[in-house]
Amino acid sequence: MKQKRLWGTVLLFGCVTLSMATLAWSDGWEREGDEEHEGRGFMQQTAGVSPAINKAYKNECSACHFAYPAGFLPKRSWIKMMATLDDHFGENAELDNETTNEITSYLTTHAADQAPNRFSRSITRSIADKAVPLRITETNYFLRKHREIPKRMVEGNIKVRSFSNCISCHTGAERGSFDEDGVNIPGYGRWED
Amino acid sequence: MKPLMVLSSFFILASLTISQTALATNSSIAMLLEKYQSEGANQFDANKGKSKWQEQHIQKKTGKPVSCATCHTTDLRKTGSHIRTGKLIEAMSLKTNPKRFQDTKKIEKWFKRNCKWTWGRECTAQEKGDFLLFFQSQ
Amino acid sequence: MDSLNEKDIEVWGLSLRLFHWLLAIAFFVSWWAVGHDIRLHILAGACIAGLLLYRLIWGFLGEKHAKFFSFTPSFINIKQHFLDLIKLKTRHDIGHTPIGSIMIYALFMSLFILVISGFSLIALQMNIGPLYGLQTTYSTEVFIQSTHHWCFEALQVLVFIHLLGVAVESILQRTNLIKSMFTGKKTIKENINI
Repeated sequence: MKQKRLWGTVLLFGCVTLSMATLAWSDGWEREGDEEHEGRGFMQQTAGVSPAINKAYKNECSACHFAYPAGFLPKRSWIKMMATLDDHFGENAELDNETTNEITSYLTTHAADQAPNRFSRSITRSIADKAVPLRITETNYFLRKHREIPKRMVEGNIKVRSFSNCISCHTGAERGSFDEDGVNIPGYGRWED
Repeated sequence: MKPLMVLSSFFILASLTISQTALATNSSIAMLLEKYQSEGANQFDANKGKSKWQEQHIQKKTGKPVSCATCHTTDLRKTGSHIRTGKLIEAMSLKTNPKRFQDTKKIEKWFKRNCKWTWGRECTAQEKGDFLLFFQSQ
Repeated sequence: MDSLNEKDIEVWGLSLRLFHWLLAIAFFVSWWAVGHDIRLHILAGACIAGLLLYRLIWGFLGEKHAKFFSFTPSFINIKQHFLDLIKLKTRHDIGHTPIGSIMIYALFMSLFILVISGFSLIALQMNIGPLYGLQTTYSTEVFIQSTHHWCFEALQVLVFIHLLGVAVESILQRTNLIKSMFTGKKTIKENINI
């Protein structure tokens, strides 16, 4: 009986160790030779999306609205966005060539279909291959995530007004955190599921 | 004797600092004015800047008449607001906002954007110079 | 002359008991972690996967009452158990009761689906885990996500019934079943001839 007890315990911990070790299995970061991303372990890969870190992007593109993380749109969307700044959702947001190039480079490098964040693959999957969305709030991924929020809390809420105003409810948005835990809708409080 | 010396050196330093700020800003504007003159502009006139500020143009996209004053107000000492988003725009008057106009790149950037959006074309060197003088005058 | 002798026997082995409590802990940790730290949620979930693997193997190789063959529910036994419950009759099942056996299998299946859907999601969203490299459409991903969610909802119900069942049976069998799951022992009465 004592033998069985020993083997049983060995089997138990062996199985658990094995299953937890499988979390390290991966075919790695898709782009070879990318020093910034080589050896990204399990812990790093769980971040939903990277916050905006490029200085030029933050300075120029949060003058009027929240600096949306590059990982929310695919590369082709950012390219189109930066090429049509003279009509940026009805406004002229043109920049000099140097700044335009710097920001375009940053956004395309960290786009949803380029960066290995947790939301990125799902976001990319949710957008049709031929589509080039410019509004994050119109992507299937976004729509699904926000499908339960009633209009009165957003469009009808004077402190929010639009889904494009991420930072009004997502208290951790500046540091790239969009967890439900950090949601506090002005005038309504925490989002309890 | 000693307190008088301390007091007077304080006032000298203070006035130097203030005048430095005023000078620094004027130097950015001065640089641009020089640039515009080399591009073919003649003497600049703040009154011309003021009247152009209120000139109405049909906005290309919305089809509605707009002017610079639509967002920035006619009184440069007041805070303006974006007609669509409601975002507040700090006063354009140099006296009210002495920290403004320190970066020539930034000044040129906003001229390009706002002239194109409001008038459908870039402002000429003459027009920009007139505007700058208008900002300095109020 | 016949008299009743009380004897303590080990019904649940050490590894089986560890399994049970680790599973309970991992389940609640995973539950809590969803809104707070997804990394912990994934770790706890992977732990559950390993525990299930152990249980599958141990169900064939383990001690008597851990073996699947010792608690395959039959319609007759279930019916009898149900009638006993209604009549509040004391039973003396040493291992799993018939209805308890159904619960075990229901829990297994639900946890299995939960774990598979969970592994699918981390493969799809982070490209890690035993299913890394998995590719699907967005709508399939959404379906897997929903499955994962509804499976969990079902498990909440099952766990509640399980707790209720343990309480009821403890009273009816006049045995502290929770204690048994810690010590592994149950007291049985056996006839001895003097």
